[in-house]
Amino acid sequence: MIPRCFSRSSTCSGRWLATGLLVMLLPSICGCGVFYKHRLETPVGPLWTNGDIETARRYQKDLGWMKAGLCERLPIITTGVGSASILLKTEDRNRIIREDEIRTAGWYNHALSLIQFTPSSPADRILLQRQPDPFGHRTLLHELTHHYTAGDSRIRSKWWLTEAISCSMESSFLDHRGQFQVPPLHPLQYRKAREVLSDLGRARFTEFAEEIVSESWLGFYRNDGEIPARYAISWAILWTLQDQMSGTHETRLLAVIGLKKDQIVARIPDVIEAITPSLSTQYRRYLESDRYRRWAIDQWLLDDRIDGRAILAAIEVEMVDSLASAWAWSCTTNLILRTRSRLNRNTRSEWQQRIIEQLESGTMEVRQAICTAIPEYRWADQLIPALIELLETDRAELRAAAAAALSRISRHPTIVNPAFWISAAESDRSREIGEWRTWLGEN
Amino acid sequence: MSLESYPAQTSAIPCLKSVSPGSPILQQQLRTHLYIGLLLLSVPLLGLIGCTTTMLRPEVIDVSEISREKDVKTFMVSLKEVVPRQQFQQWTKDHIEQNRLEIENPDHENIPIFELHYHFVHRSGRFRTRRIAYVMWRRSEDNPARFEHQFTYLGSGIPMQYWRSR
Repeated sequence: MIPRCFSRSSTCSGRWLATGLLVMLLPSICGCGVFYKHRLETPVGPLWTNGDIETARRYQKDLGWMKAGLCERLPIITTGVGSASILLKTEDRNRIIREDEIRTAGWYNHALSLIQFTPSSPADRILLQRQPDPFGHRTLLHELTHHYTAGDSRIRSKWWLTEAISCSMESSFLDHRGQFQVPPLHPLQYRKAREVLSDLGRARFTEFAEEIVSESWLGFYRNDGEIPARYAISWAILWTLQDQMSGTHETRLLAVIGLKKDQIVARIPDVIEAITPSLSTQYRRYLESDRYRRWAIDQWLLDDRIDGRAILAAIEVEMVDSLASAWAWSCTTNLILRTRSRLNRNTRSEWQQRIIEQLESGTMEVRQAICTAIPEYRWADQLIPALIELLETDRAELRAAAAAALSRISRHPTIVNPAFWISAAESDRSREIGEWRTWLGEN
Repeated sequence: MSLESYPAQTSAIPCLKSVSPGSPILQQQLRTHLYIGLLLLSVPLLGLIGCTTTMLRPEVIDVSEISREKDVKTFMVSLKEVVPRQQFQQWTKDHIEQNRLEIENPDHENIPIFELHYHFVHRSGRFRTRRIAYVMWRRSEDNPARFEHQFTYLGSGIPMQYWRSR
């Protein structure tokens, strides 16, 4: 069993171990159907859930491209890997979240080929909105990577490597052309590894990294509050070493797998050098890359410290591609309507005007993308008339998105419930729009 | 109260029955058993007190409404003491029921409330007031007559403006 975020460090007597194993084996003996209401066939194996079938169908679809992508990137390692059973846990509506809690989002059991994961709850979606996992599939892809790489005993026997590989693949995504992309770095792990380096200093960081590559299962997963640090440093080691190798993604990975512990330890100073530049420096580097430009823009916009001019220039490059329209205008909105963008007033006014033009005459997709991207921002009054116009559009989803956007940038009270803007009687909606127009006339 | 009347099957000390009344040994044993009996009685009593304590509602100093929208209500609830974490959800549930928020919107007639946000704040000693919990409810899509608890968040690290749900 590989818990993603934490594991209990306790010694079990033989009896407890046997009982535990029996309990774990019980589902496979009885069949998951005893415990789960729904079964869906997926390219990876059966998916079981007691929860919302629509959520399960979304993951059923995702598993197709996830499996294809992993097999394409790691053709040798994934050869001959069989199916897995996936247990999709339901969201806990009565959940109490503690600040800074570390919780198990998913786990994988190699002996039973069993993946269990919990989709992002409403709380997570709000809490994690500034984290790079817009589609909430990171946990599933992490556990799936465990399944497709666990067949290689060289990976399975090193816990740091097992987790590092899964971390490196977990934020992979389908790009706008439908191609599976592995990001050039993992921003969360990069940030965490730098944080640990800053806290410990070079000498203690080196010792800590040496310990990590030698840890046993119990040592690596012990619940001592340092698990996120162990994951981050494991990822940083793999990321640095893989970058030093040449060839395809898998060839480089296999070269790292072939290194002995002494060889890895000898390269820890390289890891320190690799994570020394700031995340902004890394993003700036990837803005130059045709392959990773969009990824770098998306990630950098999640940060508090940005270089608005560099991002805007990169968005303009992407705008040439007509397929990028909705995405590009969403990013532009996010960039222009924020504080500390390092853009001057003229540039901001000019681009705010362009956003208004798109709200008035852009495609439905672009209008929807802009409305969804508009953040809580006090200096966007100019957008209000265009958004009020959208409350009358024939497209129900766009009406709801415009109302939500208005609620974020205006102090005028409105109805936020999307159901009202989607399906309420036209007369009721007209009354509300009338109020908006009156208010606009008075202000 | 006669200790001898203890029914054997319920007494924790069945050997009492074999001792004759009035002997010093009996008096000593009686005293011992009285203590034990009181001790045993005090266990459920303590349990009851414990239960009563955990059932206590948070002592609220003030509830102020800072709603901005017509169908989203936001409340700041000032607490006198920090309470067990389960109590935040229960308190909000009671508040919803007492104020009939599921069926009534006090400020906007005919506009059903869509979301309820509760920020629990506490002032400890000389320190400034800080938020210690946040509870969110949303009207259920499956059963629009009811609210669904979305989550309870304990902590103050995330600024209020990040609690964007729309």
